[in-house]
Amino acid sequence: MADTLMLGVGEYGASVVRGSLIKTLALGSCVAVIMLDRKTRCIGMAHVALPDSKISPERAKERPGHFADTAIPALLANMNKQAGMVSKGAGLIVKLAGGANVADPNNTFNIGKRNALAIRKVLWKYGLGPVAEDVGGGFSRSVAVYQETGQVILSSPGRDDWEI
Amino acid sequence: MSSISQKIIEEVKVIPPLSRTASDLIVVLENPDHTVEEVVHVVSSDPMLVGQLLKIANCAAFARRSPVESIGGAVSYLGDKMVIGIALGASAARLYDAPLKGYDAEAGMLWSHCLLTALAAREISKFTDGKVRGGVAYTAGLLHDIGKAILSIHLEDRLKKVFDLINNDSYDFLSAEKAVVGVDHCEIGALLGKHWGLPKSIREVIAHHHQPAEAAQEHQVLTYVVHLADTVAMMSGVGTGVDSMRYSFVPDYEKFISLDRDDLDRLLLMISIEADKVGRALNEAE
Repeated sequence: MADTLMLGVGEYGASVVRGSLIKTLALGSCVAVIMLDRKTRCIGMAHVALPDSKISPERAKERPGHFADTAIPALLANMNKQAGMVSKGAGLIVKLAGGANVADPNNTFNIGKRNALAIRKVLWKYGLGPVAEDVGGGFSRSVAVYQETGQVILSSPGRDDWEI
Repeated sequence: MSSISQKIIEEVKVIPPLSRTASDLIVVLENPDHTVEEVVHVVSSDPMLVGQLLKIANCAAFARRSPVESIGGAVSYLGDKMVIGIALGASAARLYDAPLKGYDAEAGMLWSHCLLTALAAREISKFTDGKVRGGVAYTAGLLHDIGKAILSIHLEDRLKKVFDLINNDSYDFLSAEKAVVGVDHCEIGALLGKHWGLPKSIREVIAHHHQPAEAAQEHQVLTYVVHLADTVAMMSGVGTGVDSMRYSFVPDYEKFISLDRDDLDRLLLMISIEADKVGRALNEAE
């Protein structure tokens, strides 16, 4: 059986193990940041729940993957640790998935949208940008990333799996 | 009324009653002026529950220096909301812990969702200007989706039809349940609430938590609180199963609840941490 790394809310992880797989389930309004390095074939993912760590620096210290601004540097550092040094810029493929929303005209409950926006802003700081994303909508997603093929497969109840 | 709806209604009538302890605790907690002594009085008549509370209060997840040895100590330490959660979970375990195949939900998912909704409801009640008490919001959160435990088996072979309606005809999950089975989980839950003799406030929440404006006026704010809490639980990735995030959201909550973005972010953070803690404590005590 393939080496599987399962991520919970606010967790992140990376792998260079051949045939390994990183998964996260039921994203809801959380966003999965997925990174794939062409050079080292390292895969990484963070399950980001909130846009900004300012609301709880203690939690950010304990679980940096919880917030967009702390998750991305933590994920990049972890990938560098696993793979030596991962590519910078275009060599590093970034994809986003999740961020389901409810229709709230008050904009309070649009946390999925705010998460995705905060993640894009942090990625820009690192000279990165998503090449593919499947975010928003009124449904929850699960994500699996395959080291061997670099495939990012999304699933949601009531529909066939799809790739981004 | 369709023959399936009639059959489901008959099924509700034979569901075993809640334990005396759970029913009495619901009534005690509904009173905003209840005391710890009243909770202890109800709990002390149930030795099994006393044992369970002491075990949980002393488990490693709570990291206490000195052991909790009395019923009063356990109730004070855990808080009355956790006590009602444990009593209700034990009393209706057959309903809460079964896998819900009609929602493609594994065993325990309904309980996790209800627990997270209860925690969120307790917090959201703080934003109602004192109109809703945390205790009743918590109990209502625990019970809001109980109808799914009965409806599930009738959805099992009809899920494809439900998703056809959702994907092609802009139905939400609730209206699709109603269209396909003839009744929805809110109606069935409210019937069960009546069968169990639950207070009207809780029955109104069960019946209208997806359409809070339809709740009786005196219970409307409480119903809005649970509507938001249910949404928060689903946003956190803890829905019951295939129906997660598939319900209509009623945005006019702001008439009763003043919650802004920062409040919501803090709420999401708090419930994810607390749910983690409670989940570990309950697992450890099993």
